[in-house]
Amino acid sequence: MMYSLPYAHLNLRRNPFGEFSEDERTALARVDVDPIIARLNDPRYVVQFVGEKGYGKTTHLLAIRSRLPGAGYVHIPEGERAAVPSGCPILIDEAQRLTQWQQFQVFRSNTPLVLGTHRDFQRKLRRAGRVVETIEVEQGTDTERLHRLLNARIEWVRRGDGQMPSITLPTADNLLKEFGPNIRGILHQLYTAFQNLNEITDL
Amino acid sequence: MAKCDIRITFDNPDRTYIGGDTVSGEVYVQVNEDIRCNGIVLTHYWKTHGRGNTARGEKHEIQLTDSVPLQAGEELKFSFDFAAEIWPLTYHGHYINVDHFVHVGVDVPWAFDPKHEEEYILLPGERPPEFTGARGEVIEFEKEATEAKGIAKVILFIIVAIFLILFAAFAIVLIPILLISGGIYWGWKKMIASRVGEVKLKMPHLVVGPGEDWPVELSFTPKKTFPVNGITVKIFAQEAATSGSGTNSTTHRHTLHEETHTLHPGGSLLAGEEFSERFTIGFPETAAWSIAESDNKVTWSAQIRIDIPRFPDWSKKAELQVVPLEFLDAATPFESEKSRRATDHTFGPPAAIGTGPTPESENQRSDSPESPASDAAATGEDMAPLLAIVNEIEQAGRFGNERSEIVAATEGHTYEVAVRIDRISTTFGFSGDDAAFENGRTVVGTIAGTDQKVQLFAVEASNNSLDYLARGGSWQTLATVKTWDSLYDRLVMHEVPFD
Repeated sequence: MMYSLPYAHLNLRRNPFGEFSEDERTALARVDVDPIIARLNDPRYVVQFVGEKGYGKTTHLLAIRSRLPGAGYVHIPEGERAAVPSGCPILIDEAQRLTQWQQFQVFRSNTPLVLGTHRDFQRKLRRAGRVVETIEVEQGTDTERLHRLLNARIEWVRRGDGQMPSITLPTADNLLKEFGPNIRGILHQLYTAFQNLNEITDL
Repeated sequence: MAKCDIRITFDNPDRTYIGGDTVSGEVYVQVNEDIRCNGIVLTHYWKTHGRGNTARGEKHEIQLTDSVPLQAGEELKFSFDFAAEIWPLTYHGHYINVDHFVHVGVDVPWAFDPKHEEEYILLPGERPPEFTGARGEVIEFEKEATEAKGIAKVILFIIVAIFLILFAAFAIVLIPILLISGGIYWGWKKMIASRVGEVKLKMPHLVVGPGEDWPVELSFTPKKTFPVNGITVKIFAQEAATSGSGTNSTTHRHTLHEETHTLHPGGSLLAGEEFSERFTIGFPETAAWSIAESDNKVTWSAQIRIDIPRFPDWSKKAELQVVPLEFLDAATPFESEKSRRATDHTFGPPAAIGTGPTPESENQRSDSPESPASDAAATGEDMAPLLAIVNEIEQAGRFGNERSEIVAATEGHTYEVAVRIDRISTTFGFSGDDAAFENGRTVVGTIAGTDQKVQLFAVEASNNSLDYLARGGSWQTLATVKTWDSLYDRLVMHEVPFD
């Protein structure tokens, strides 16, 4: 049995729609966070990214974190407690897992916050005197953005100069119609498609 | 333009190495702008990629240069060499891939570090120390950072214990439910036992090599006469890759292999009549080695089932561990294997192999080093009668009894035979009368100088000489032709004992 370099037949290093590390996801985040970063100078400001899993909440948080070296970031794993980090602003992924006491402390602090959450904290935050912006992540996904995001992944795993497979706009549009904003579902579909790809071709 | 362009080349153009080999090559760093560099470091490691969270092995660092100013237009060249790891091996599956990498990073203060990595392919070579030849239980590879996991387990255990103590009082309401569930389970087992009695199942090889004959022994005495749809063994392999964590985690599964072998056809099993059979199952050829990383698993299992119509089936499942044959061959002459593989980077039977240590042979059998010359000798005049039979078999029709008739005509003749070895296993389930073969070895391979496959049962007295031979080696002896195995298209021969 002979082995060749992985995905060399596609001029790639690996399947572009497999699981990426946090650093890679940060580098590949294709979201517009400029307006949010400007508002994070206000210590009372809170932006919460609300949406189902796989819709891009973490991607938004990672994109903001990569732009702000002084930010504190924590992802709270399921069934666990995590200390709220120091930093400005504070970014909390899976914020619905904050304990009541942590919510009380963090929401009333004098630090701008970026939350990724399944639960809408708007009322609690307003009661704590915060200026709240809520972004429903599923509404930020359109065909062009998806097209950019998918092809950026392919470019990221390029093996060498020359042609590579790519995702066309009509395919991105069809995927968006089929899966809606569920990016994770789209990635899984494309993972299988790339596993079955025997030669360089556009999808 | 990046501050530096990094290129990594390997001395071996196909980048294929075996475990323990020296991986060597060059690193070229083309400097595009003046920078202060805090060092250039080469790191080699393995990691997984695919649908699961990335698992990564220990990083081994080699400092190529210390702190140095780099000027635009400069090109630096560094040579490197290191010993390849021995495990895990390169694997490219559906959801899981394992690759080995050489990574080079230029440390630039207060800026993104230019970096580049290239893969190399690792094939079986040096045997991991965990493999001692024992095959009765699955072998766990020593994991890095197990200490932290061990502490986590202790903490988890304490938490669970406290939880159980605190809620023991409330658990009393669960007792009836547990009793009912236990009763149903006990009744179920009793029902099955009322038919099959006590079933003894032996699977002596839980560590298996691809293409091996995998032994299984089943014995029971039915308590009642009952019909069976069959007794089967299912060999099953699956990839399971987990991405994300907690409620965000998803496990993707992909079946790599699923094959059901019928050990005993449908019919009736009679009360009081012992069923005791030994079987050998041809394990599939595969490079899907067992992997047991937390989010990336390749698992193999065997499930034996006594399928009873309109009645609960008796079944038992065991986890198997599939590893390269090279790791199982307790006497593989590794150094020779290593030199061979330096020029032959395939998993298939080698074209040439060196010799192992010369065994103390009790008889005059020849364990010749495999070489074109030895093949020529083996296929000389002494082998002519056997080669004539092989020739006849090749000419005969593949279907019908023609081949079996040719074999039957050889009865009473002893032939000199040289076998090019594909694998040697302990004879298990020898069905003949001669006890000399029962604890001997079974040699599977081809008759030297031909493509004719052969299965040769050797006597126990030859164990010493055979245990020093490896795949690709050649072994010469005297044997009789016993039968024609139409399933595998091979001659079945019995070694003639020297008495």
